[in-house]
Amino acid sequence: MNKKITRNLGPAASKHWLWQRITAFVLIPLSLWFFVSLFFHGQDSYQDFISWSSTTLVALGLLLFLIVAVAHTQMGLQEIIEDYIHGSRLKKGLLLMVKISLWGLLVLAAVSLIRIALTQ
Amino acid sequence: MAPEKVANRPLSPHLFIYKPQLTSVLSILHRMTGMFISLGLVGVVVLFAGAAMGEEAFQYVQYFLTSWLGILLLFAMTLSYFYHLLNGIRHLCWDMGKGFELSAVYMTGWIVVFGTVVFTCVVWFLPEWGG
Repeated sequence: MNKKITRNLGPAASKHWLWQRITAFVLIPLSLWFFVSLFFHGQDSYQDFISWSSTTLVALGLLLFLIVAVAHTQMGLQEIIEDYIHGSRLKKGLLLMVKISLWGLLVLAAVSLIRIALTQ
Repeated sequence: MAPEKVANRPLSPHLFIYKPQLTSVLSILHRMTGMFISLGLVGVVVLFAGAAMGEEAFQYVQYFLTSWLGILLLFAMTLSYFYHLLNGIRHLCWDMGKGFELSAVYMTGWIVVFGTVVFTCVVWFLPEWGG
């Protein structure tokens, strides 16, 4: 294998490995909190849901959860794509699409949370 | 790197002759549940976007989630979430170098499976049992 390629991929791969674990670790309590919250508030009336999700602490928690979850998801999907897709162009295209979709999703989520907070 | 051309060489059978084992099944399940709950994440954002768009939009989302399809998806999501969470913790233990003895691998594996079922049942049925 080309030494140059190995050296360039090395640090990136280790970073990916580390951040996937870090986000996973943070997500253990964070996702549990989120899941339990949805369990209790998912069937709320509109007004109750808005009151709950616009509470500062809750909104911050939701935002934090979404950011970390999107990062973790992106890294996981990246791994899957890299494992199964070997055509260089298709792989890069898919990876880009996944990244754009996920971070676009995050922007949508952030805007939604802000709008919800502003209705109160 | 030059794109690898897939030559049509015959492959020895693999998937359909290899006996499924806890190790391999749980491993692929981790990947599959991961993909599935990625969709769940999209759904979550849809819920909040609905709330941001107003009462009608929000109720529309809730209406879908309480339909039979919505309930089915939520149940599958719950199973997938708990499985991915528990097996994820198992993975993190391996990353710390713990639990590699085959007996531990199998024991923790079964704990993950049973834990998933138990937690899902608690979430879905405890409220009905008056918990």
